[in-house]
Amino acid sequence: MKFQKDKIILDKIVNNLDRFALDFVKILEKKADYVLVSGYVSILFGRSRISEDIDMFIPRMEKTEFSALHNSLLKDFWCLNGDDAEELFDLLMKRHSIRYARKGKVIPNIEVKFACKPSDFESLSKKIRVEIGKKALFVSPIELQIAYKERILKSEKDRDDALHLREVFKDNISKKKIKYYEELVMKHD
Amino acid sequence: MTKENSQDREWMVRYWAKFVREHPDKEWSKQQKELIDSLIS
Repeated sequence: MKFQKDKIILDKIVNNLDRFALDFVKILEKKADYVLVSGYVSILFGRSRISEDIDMFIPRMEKTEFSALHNSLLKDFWCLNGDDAEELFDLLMKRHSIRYARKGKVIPNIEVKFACKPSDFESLSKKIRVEIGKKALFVSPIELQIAYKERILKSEKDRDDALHLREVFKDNISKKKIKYYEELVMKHD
Repeated sequence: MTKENSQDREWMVRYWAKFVREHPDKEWSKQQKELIDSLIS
């Protein structure tokens, strides 16, 4: 793992969950910005557990833009919540998530939400590029993930995810930033 | 979960994270891949 100013370079052997994320964003990023958050961020950086889903924020967009994105995703994926782009858009606008999986499968799936809270926008605007070979994924700032898991989610699994990130990034994270994000999420989440 | 179980669990999380931090990516990710790919195809 190499840390550079604005990116992290991972020399990992890609697993099936990584492959799923890479294949999905390869299509999505042609139409929209995105950031990966929560448990998959810990797994990407080595956490020894699996997850049936990957959480993602995308910026709010117009209905026509979403329809174009949804239609392009349907090439390799299907939406578990339904086929109708208008109905799916309405779900997103009501702050619900929608899930996509590979055709013919249910798990793993990617849970997509429109960014709506200050911490969601912070994840998007301060996202970190993670390069894996010639490919890349964008993830939320590590300090924000630690703060969110320790202060908001607080389950045993989330505390372990946060502990893993604290240990792996112990020489590369800012305690000042964690404190800042703790205050942000405690105020708005 | 008992306090002892919780401490043992935290010890293991720290142990593995230290392994990830101190070993080449290929080494830890090979083990991670075996775990994940055994459950997700």
